[in-house]
Amino acid sequence: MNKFKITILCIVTFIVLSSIWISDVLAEGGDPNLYFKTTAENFAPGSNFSVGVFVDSNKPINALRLEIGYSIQTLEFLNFNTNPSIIDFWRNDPEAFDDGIIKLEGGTAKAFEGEAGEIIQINFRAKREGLAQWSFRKAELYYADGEGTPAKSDVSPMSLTISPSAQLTSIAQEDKQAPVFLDVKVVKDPADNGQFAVFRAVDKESGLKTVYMRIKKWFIWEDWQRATNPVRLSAGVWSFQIKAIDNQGNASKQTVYVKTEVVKKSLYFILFLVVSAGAYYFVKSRRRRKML
Amino acid sequence: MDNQKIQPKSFLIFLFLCYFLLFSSASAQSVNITASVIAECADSVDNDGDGLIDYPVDPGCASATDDNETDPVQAPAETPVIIVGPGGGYSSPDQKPVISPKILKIADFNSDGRINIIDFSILLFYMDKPMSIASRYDLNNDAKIDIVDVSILFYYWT
Repeated sequence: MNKFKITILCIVTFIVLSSIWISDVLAEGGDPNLYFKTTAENFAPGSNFSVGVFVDSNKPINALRLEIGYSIQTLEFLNFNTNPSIIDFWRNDPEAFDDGIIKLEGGTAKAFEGEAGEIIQINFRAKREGLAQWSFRKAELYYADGEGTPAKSDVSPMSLTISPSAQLTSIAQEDKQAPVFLDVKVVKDPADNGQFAVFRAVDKESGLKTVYMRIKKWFIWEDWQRATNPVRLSAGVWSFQIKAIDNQGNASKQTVYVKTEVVKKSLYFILFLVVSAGAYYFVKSRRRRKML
Repeated sequence: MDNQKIQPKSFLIFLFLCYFLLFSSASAQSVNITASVIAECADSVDNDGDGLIDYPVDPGCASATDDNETDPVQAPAETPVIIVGPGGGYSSPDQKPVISPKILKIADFNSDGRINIIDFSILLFYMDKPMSIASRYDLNNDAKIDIVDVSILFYYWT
């Protein structure tokens, strides 16, 4: 009887321990999975719709680099919306190229772990009838472990049909708020004596479209030019303006003064005034002497 | 029927005649054959059976003129990438930053001679950590790890 009880106890213990071990292995295992999601299975030609890029990960990840391909025969890229996104810092803005390639690269200080982490929303227009596909041409994810360990990731492409029998859809993008600047700073380059303009803008509705910047070296602003964080400020820039525009055309602007250059320029100006005044009095006194 | 042996001499004459006729007719008629071959990556067919069709959707297509849709073997994530220059920028393409030993020393956290996404991941990991353990990653020495450090890393990205 005792022997029987011990055997049963051993079997139960074995089953419990192995089930714990198996669940641990399952939880540990499972590579991060990247996939697309959209609102319908079919769209009519002329429809505007969003495709979300998502990630599931059992372990915290904090950086990614993706290259997405989409069917240019049937789809037209419209814009990106990075709100909401698990990514806080984009290296270069997300970019869509004419040949149907989209490149995304960024990271977050709040490492993501869990299901359905939205990376970005990409808006498209269904151009014509046919098969529309999306795939990950490159997918690099990095674990938030302080060592930058690359994660082996699984990727799932997505296909849908653009058909006249499907429903015509549009993207509701009411946006009355202009983008907001989270940071705009002038910082010293640790490598030399140069300076950077550091900035970050977000738009909580239709999403940030572009950031422009213009600089002032003396009295006139130079032309607006597209800018990505950070911008190395050339010598002599004493002020710059940053303008962020969202996908609905709302814009917000911020002017920043570069303190060291403002002081330098002010000193030049005072020196100029002193020299001018001196020259003026010198000429005037000479004239007086001549007249006497 | 008698078995007649073919004389080598007559065989050579026969070959010569064939050759002559073939060439003279080809040169006289000058036939233009235009064969339009559509590359696999632009033929609207799933040639490799992975469910993905043509460039740029099929990862096996390097371009629309690529004639092989077969998917490449997935390269590991840490495979070196092309050097792309400054992380951020403004206006007329700024000159590429010089990656001095000084900047490599402070921003190349994993000491692989490059400043890239691995260093970015390491920096992000230490962003919310106390400075007692994260000071190594404070690139501008302002006693905090924030967007400034991220931006410096972006600028010197290789």
